[in-house]
Amino acid sequence: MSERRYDPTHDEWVTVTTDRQDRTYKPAAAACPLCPTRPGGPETEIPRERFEVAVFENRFPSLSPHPPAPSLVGTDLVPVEPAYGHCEVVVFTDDHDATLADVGVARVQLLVETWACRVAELGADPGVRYVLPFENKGEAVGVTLHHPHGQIYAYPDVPPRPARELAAARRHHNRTGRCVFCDVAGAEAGGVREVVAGEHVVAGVPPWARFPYEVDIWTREHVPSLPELPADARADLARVLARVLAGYDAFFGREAERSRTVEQFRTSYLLGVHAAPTDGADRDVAHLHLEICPPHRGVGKLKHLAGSETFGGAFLTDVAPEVAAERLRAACADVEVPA
Amino acid sequence: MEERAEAVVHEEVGELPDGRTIRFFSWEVPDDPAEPGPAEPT
Repeated sequence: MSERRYDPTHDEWVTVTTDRQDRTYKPAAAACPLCPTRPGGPETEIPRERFEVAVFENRFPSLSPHPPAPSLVGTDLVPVEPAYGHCEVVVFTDDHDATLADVGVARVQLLVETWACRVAELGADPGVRYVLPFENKGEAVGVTLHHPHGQIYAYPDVPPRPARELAAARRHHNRTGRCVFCDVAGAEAGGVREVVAGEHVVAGVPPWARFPYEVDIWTREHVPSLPELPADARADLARVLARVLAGYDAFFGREAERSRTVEQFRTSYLLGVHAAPTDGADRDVAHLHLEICPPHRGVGKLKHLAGSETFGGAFLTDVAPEVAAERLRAACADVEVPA
Repeated sequence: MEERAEAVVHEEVGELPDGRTIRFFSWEVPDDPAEPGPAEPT
């Protein structure tokens, strides 16, 4: 079963996708389905001995270009529809033990180029309204496969969080005549919450960070989507992203060493790319940006989405964004990022 | 990163045994022209 059911109490759709219960769950490294297929080894999802970045349709998709008919008939109150869309897996490297923080700038740049290609192609599907590249990294955020990878979901509508973001941006535009993200990028650049400054993009802890060490990356100019970002700016985005991710490991690694809690600390995080809907709507207010949300409020301490966040939608954060930015800025400045 | 400025993204499309599409993305440096022409018309 894979179908979308409308929640009239929150004006949003939920995808019920029961087949995903059978997906591969924390396999041993020797049985990793995202490793290359090596001579004498098991056949994996990727029929190659070596590769740089591989993208394939998810074997257990929640959204599909050929979705099954819904299992029940919808009503006026709760419409039910086929779960149309696309779900792709993006494997960042053939090295099982690498992470996006240590693959080097060239590979991160190739990933940014890959995202741009896939967003353009998936967004051209008239049944798709929004394409979301993302990465879930680490067991702390529920990852079931440790091989470095992300995903791309192409939705038939604009999902709730980007929709809410676009509505807020529209209100700001109506009031001021300006893009809210252009205003934010301009206000944060060079300020106390800036973490890494690029020529075309700026990374910073937003003043309203929902997670203690959240970092957002905004383009300095108004660019609605990744395929429209010029090549030199995409390269700059990759450099800044690679430095932020390496800086996270450096910062939390130092903390881990000090507290002697773990030998090697690798930051868990959720990373998402927000951009304009792919049907041409809201291009004047949609502004390309990345959000990176580690669940850590310290080494061995996790920020859980508890009562206020889950039922109130009201986030509480334990570290002042200015303090988090100062710590991450220092770690990012010192860290060596492989080319 | 200067070498990246000369490299271009190469995409190769294939099919998995169960019919799903797989794509490989890589950096590719185009071959240099065998015989570079004159810098200025003569």
